[in-house]
This record gives sequence, structure tokens and C-alpha cells, in this order.
Amino acid sequence: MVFHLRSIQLVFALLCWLSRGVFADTFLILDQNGTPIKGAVIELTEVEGSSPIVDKNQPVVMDQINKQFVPELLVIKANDDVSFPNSDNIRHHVYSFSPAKPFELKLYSGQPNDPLTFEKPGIVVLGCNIHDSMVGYIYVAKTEYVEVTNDEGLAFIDPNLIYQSVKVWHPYQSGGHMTVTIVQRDNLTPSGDGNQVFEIALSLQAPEPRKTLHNVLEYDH
Amino acid sequence: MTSKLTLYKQVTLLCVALVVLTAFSLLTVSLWNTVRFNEQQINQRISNAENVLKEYLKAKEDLLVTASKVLTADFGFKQAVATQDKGTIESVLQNQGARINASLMILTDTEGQLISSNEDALLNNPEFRSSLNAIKLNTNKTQLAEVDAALYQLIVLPVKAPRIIGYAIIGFKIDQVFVNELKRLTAVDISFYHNDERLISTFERPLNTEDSGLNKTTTAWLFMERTAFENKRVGVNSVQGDQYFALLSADLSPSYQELDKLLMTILVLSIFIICLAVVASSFLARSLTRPLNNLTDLANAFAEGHYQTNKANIKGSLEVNDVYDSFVKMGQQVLERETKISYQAEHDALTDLYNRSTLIDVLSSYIQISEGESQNKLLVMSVNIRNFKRINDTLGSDMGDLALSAVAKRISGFYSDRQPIAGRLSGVEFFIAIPYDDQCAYEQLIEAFVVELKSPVQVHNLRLNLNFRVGACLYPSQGNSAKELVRRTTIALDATKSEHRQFRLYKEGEDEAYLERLSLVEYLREVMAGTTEELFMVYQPKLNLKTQKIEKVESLIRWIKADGTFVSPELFIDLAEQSGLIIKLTHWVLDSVLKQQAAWLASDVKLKVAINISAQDIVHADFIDFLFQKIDTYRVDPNLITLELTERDIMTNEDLVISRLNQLKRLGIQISVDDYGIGQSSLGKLKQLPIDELKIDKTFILELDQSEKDQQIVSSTIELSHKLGLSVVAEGVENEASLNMLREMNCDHIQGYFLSRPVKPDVLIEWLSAYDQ
Repeated sequence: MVFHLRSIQLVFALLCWLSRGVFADTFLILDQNGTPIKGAVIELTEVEGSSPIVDKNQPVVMDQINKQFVPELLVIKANDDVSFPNSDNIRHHVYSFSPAKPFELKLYSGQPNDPLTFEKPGIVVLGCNIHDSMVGYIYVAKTEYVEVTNDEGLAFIDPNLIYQSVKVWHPYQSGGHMTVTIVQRDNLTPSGDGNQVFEIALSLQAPEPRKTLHNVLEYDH
Repeated sequence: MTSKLTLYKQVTLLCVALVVLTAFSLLTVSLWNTVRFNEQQINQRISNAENVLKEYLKAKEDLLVTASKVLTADFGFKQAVATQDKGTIESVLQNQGARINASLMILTDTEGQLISSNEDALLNNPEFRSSLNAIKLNTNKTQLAEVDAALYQLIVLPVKAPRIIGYAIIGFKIDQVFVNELKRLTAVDISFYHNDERLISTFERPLNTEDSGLNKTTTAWLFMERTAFENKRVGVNSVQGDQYFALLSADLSPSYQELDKLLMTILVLSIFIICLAVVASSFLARSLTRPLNNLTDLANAFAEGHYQTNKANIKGSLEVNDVYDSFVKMGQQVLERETKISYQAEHDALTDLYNRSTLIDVLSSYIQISEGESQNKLLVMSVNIRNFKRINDTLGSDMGDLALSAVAKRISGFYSDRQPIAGRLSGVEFFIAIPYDDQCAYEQLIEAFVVELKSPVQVHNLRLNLNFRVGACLYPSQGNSAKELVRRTTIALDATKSEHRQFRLYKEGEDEAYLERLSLVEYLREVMAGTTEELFMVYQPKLNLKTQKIEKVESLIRWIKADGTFVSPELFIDLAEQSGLIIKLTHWVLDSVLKQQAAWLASDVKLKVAINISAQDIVHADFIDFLFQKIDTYRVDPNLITLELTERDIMTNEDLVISRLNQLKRLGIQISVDDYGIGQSSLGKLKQLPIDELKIDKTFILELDQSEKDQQIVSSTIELSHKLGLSVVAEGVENEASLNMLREMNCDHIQGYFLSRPVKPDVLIEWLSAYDQ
């Protein structure tokens, strides 16, 4: 089955690559079972050369809809601004204790006053004090050279970029949610013939079940 | 199956056994039930305790978890933890810990490494760190854990902000208050163990060794050792050799106390009741056995002959009383019968007079009583009815009995005011002893008595004239014992017969002579049995007048007692005949004579010996056999034996005698008739007898030479005898004149003192040889 999946993916990658018409490096992120991982962040470090950059002037939005952070994962560049509108009709108390950006938006609704600037690169885990199960992630990248894998677990990089290493991160890593995997460029071995598809495996664990406030007093079994 | 136990013991034992059995079964049953009940109670208690323990722990756990969860969810707490500032974390741990009364607040990182604790001492304790590692990261559930030698109920909770940034370990110490509270709720002692090491317990005293004390049997009671505690292990949490459990220990001593109390009560009660039973049953048994003992006494009295008893009230049960009454009645009846039988034993049935033995007893006791009182004299008389047989034969025995009764009445009624002792000695012999004194002489009494007897006896419509003979004896002058008196009276009575008198008083010395005659018989018997020479044969020769030779001798028996006293042959032969000893005597004589004859023959002396025999001898069944036996033994020629029988003796039992004589004659033995002429035979008889010889009685020969009458008789007798073919011997020739006369009369043989006295055999031989010359 996996074998089948892999071969299909390879073909698909090839097709995608063909549809682009441009050569691109493809990263395929798989978990310990060989399943492609969606929403894995790939950041290039120590890059030479240029490539298209993500728009930086608009403030990025991390909304709260239906007691969830939307999007769950936000990838920004250092010094980007993020605003946190509350689209729910209940108040939330957003907080983060992450060293990259500890902050607290105490019990508000609608739009807070100002968007927040995330100066430091790093991983910021967001939570809501009222709703224990609300979890969001903001990946603050150092540079603009950062991608997120799609549903097929693929991410495309300008092949012209020359970089030293690749940082790979996913929120559900079994080593801990702050674990960042660094793979040296030299260690990347392409799989597939001729085409640059790099496979990187991560070990994931199942996410903690969603908890709501009234679940706090229950037993886990 | 007779029991060796008395009734008394049986009853007592039965009652006691019943009580013991009851008590024992009650005891056993109640003990059994109580023990079981107690066991059930204990088990119930422990089971309850277990449930309570579990519920309590669970409740505590619930509290713990709730409190801890709230704590770890606290924003401030999370915030403090996120700062990663040790100081802050420590203080928040202390503060929050205090809020929920947690003894232990530990924070670890996501790897389980210790970050901080509410007691900084613990941080530096390496043991603590190692024991930390043993704590499972089993979140959201409490567990028991030993930390720093104390037991804690721990919960491990993640600190989420919002992802897990660390783990909080919150512990509630299981301290003395905790276990005491448990004990209060469960009523059992509780000890908590980690891998057989006791951590905390409600028991105050410390144990050196682990829990062996609890399993040890402590209380000793009546040689039994009983377990002191009922223990149950309750596992709390255990994984692969790391065991935490609680030990519930129910103290059994209260229930033991209860049990012992019960036991003691029942025992004491039982013993008391048993004692009561013993006492009561012994009373019961006594009341049963006492009347029985009375009965036994009564029976024993009966056995000894005391039948007369007073009807005592023996206070027994109805049945026993009935038996007792029956016994008494029986005794009375036995007494009656005994009296009757005694009377019959003592009295003659027909005449109601004393019988012989009683008579003697009564007389003896009278004599005994009157010993020393000289005026108590008795006239003792024996009365014999003459020819009573004739009356019996003529009138019939019924009339005879009536006659006897009448006579008895007359005799016993004689001088009844003097209270005579009357008795019936034998069939026709009566006895009376009449007391007399000097005022009334016995002669008068005798006279009166004889006159009284003479008067006719009235029987029905017959007047009988009876003739009596009376023998009398006097007490104390003629005898002083009852037997003596009776015997002497009888002697006197016998004398009346031979003296042809009607009355005869006893004469002095008669009894002695009588007794002496009796003793003589005995003496003779002894003499014959022995080898004494008191008894010996002498021989008197008979002269044959024709040949002038001695061919015949007569053998005569002589007895000279050892003391030299000569016993008259007539006397002792007469006695022998009367006592039946004659048979033995004749045997002795035959033996002696034949032996002698054989001896003579051996020395060439041939003599015909004549032996005297009596009527009793000749009719005796064994006589002829004996004679033949002796003839064989001594090899004597029967022809040399002559048997002399008196004329009188032949006449008694004629037919038998004749047949015997014929038998003897066939053998060649000669028969001679002795004392001929003074008997009562007829000539007719004489010719029938198988005899050979006649011996003329000496009364005719003694004075032959002087008495013509005798000469005539003798002469004719000799002729008659010759004519009948018999030879004649004349006895008692005492002078030559008689001898010559007899020779002239043609007498065949003579015998007498003139010729020779009877002499001993050796003397005879000498005399014979002398005579031949």
C-alpha cells in the first residue's frame, strides 16, 4: 500500500513539477509510518540568492472562530505583524508563554487594539485560558524562505536557491512540540530518478484530544 | 446381663450422664454457633473495612485529582511554570500546595526530570530523585508511592500551556491522621506496605520484624493458641514487583473475650447443674434403694428363719411398698406353714403325741430345766399293746387306727393336771413321763395307771379289751438323761415279755448289761475283721462206741477277750444271730475249721469235723457258694464235713432249709440235727428231712444213769433213729455209768466232759495220740 502510495506520489510530483514548467526542488515530508504530513513547515537557512517573497505589508491574521484558532498554523517572517480578531460571540483570553513571544490578550472580543509584532524568530504556541483545547501555532521564520507542505506532504523550493540546511517542524512531533529537525543540505539525498525530491521523515504522535472547559473535571481513562 | 453397679450408682450415673450430655451438647452447639457467627462477623467487618478503605481512597483520590487538576489549570500557576524561574516555581509550588493541603508538590519537565519541589531539601536528596524515577507517569490517576520513607497518595498531572510544558506531581501524605481516620471508619487496624516493608500503620508499637507479629498467634487460652488478628491484604496498586498494599487487621480479642465469657458461663452453669444433678439423683437413688435395702433385710431375716415382722412403713414407691407387703405376707404364711410342718415333724400324725425324737428333746429340755431341783421327779413308762396285729387283721386298719388313737388319748390324759409328757415311740409302743413328788409315791401312780389302762377301749360301737405291758423307769434315781430314761424303760418293757409279767420296773444294771451286749457285738465285728487270737476254735472229740475210736470231733467257737475275760459262746452267738453278724461269724468259723482240717490232713490226721450253723446261715444266699469256695481252697473232702443244725433252726423256713440241705448232701456233706428232743418237730417232719445223724440233747444225758425216764426216752430215740437210718450222738456224757448205758443202748457216738472237754487243736492231737494208747 505504502509502496503504491509512494509511486503515485512520485508520479504526481513529477506531474506537478511538469505543470509548473520550472524546475523546483520538492520536499516530501512523511511521518514514521510513511504517511505524508500536511502542514509541516520547511525553512531554509543561510540562503544565497533570491526568490519570490511572501507579501509582507499586510498584517497577518490569526482569527478565533468557533473556539478554534484559524488558521491553526501561521507562518510569518520575523518582524511581521499579526492581528488577532475574535470572530466568536464569546470572549477569549489568548496567551502565549513561548519564549519567542510571550504575550497575553486578556479576555476580549472583536478586534484588539493593535496587531502584535513578532520580532523574534521561533515557534509561538497560542492558547486560550478559557478554552483549554484551543491551540494555535505561529512559526516565525527568520527569512522569507519558508514553505508549508500541502495535503500531499509536498513543498516546492526554488532549485536555484543555495542553502545550508533545512529546518523541518510540525506541531505534533513526538519529541515535543518545540522540536525542530535540522537536516544539512549535503545530507539531503534525492529520491526518484533525476528529479530532486527530498524525503524527510518525522516522528509524530497523535494530538491530544480536544478538551473543553467542562472536560477538566473528568477522568481520563 | 447383670451389672456390677448398684442401683444407687446406676441412677446417679444416669442422671449425671444425662445432664453432662445436655450441657455438653449445649456447650458445643452454642460454641460452634458463636464461633461461626463471630467468624462471619469478622469477615463481614473486614469486608466492610475493605470497601470503606477502597471508597475512602477513591474519595480522597477524587478530591486529590479535582484539586490538583484545578491547580494545574490555574493560569497563574501555568504562567509561573512557563517562566522557568526556579525561585518563582518553588514559591508557587509552595503556595498552591498549601492551598490544597498537599504535602508534596513537585514539578518536572516533559522528560520527567525534577525541576522544583515545595521542599528544597528534597531537591538535593539523591534517594528522592531515584524514588521519583519509580513514579509512573500514569497521569490522571492517583497512586501510592513511597517517597523519602513516607507514603504518599500521588497524582501526576501535565501542566498544559496549552501544550504540555511539564508535569506536576502532587502528593498527599498518608500519615497517622489518615490511617487513624480509616480505623475510625472501618473499626479495623490498617497498615500500608510497600513490598513487604511496613510504611505506616494504626498499630502504635513498632515492630522489629515485618508483619510476623500480626500473623503470630498471641492469645493463649486453655492450652490453645488462637490467632490474634484476622488479616486481609488489599492491593492498591502494583506493577511488576513493585507492590503497594494495605493490610487490614481485625482484632479478634474482643470476640474472643465474648466467646470466653460465654464458654465460662456455660461451663460454670453446667458444673453447677451437674452438682445439683448429683445431689438430686443421689437423693432419688437413695429413695429407690433404701426400700430395696429394707426388702433385702427382710429377705435375709426370712432366710434366717425369722418370719415374723412388723409391717413397717418403708416409704418407698407404690410398687416397692406392694412388694414389701407381699414379702411380709409371705413371711407370715411361711411361718404358719413352718409351724405346721414343725408340729407334724414333732408329733405323730395319728395320735398327736410327740414322736420319738421330739419326745427325747422335750424330755431333755425338761430335765435341763429341772436340773438341781430335786423335787422334780419323773415316772417314765413305756406301754406296749399286746397282740395288736390280731386286732388290725380282724377289724381292719381303720379300726386299728381308731383304737390306737383312743389308747393314746387315754395315756396322754392320765394325770393331765401334772402335765405329763406323752409320746408314741413306735407302732404299738407309747410313752409317758409323769412328774411326781414325795407326796404322791410313784407306786400309787403306777397302780392307778395300770388300772386305767385295763378298762376297755370304746371304738365306734365296739368295746375292745386290750392287754398291755408296761415298763417303767424313775428320774432322777434310775437315769438322768432323756435317752437313758427311754432306753431303760424299753429294757424294762422287754423284760416284761421274757418274764411274762404285765409290769416291770427297771432294775439297776440292766442297761449296762444291755449296753455291754451291744458293745460286744461291735467288738466281735472288730475281732473277726482283725487277726487277733481272741477268737479261736476248740474241738471236742466224739467216741465211736462200737470201734472205740475217735474219728469225729465237734468244732466249737471260743472267745477270750484281750483282757482275759471269757465271753460265753451262747451270749455272743445269740447276739450275733440277733444282729445278723452270724453270717460273718459262720464264714469265719468255716474258714478256720477247714483250714485246720487241711492242716491235719497234711500231717496225716483224718478227722471228721462237725460245724455248728444257724438257721440264718443255711438260708443265706451266699452260704453254699462260700462253703464250696472254702472246700476248694483248702481241698478238703466234703465227706469229712458235718453241719450241725438245731432242731428248732431246721423248723424255721422248712422248705428252703430242706432244699439247701439236699444241695449240700449231694456234695457229700453230712447233716446232723443238734439238741434233738427239746424242739417241736413232729416225727412226720423228721422222716422228710435229708439228715444223717441225730444228736440227743444233753438234758436227757446228763443224769441218764439216775433217771429212768431219760433212759426210756433215749433208748427209744436211738432205736427210732436207727430205724430211720440215722446215726445217733449223745451229748453230755459225764460219767462212765452213762457211757455204759449208752453203749448198751447201741448209741453210735458219745460226746461229753467224761471223754474230753473241747480243746485247742494242738492239745487235741496230743490227747488223740495219748488216747490211742
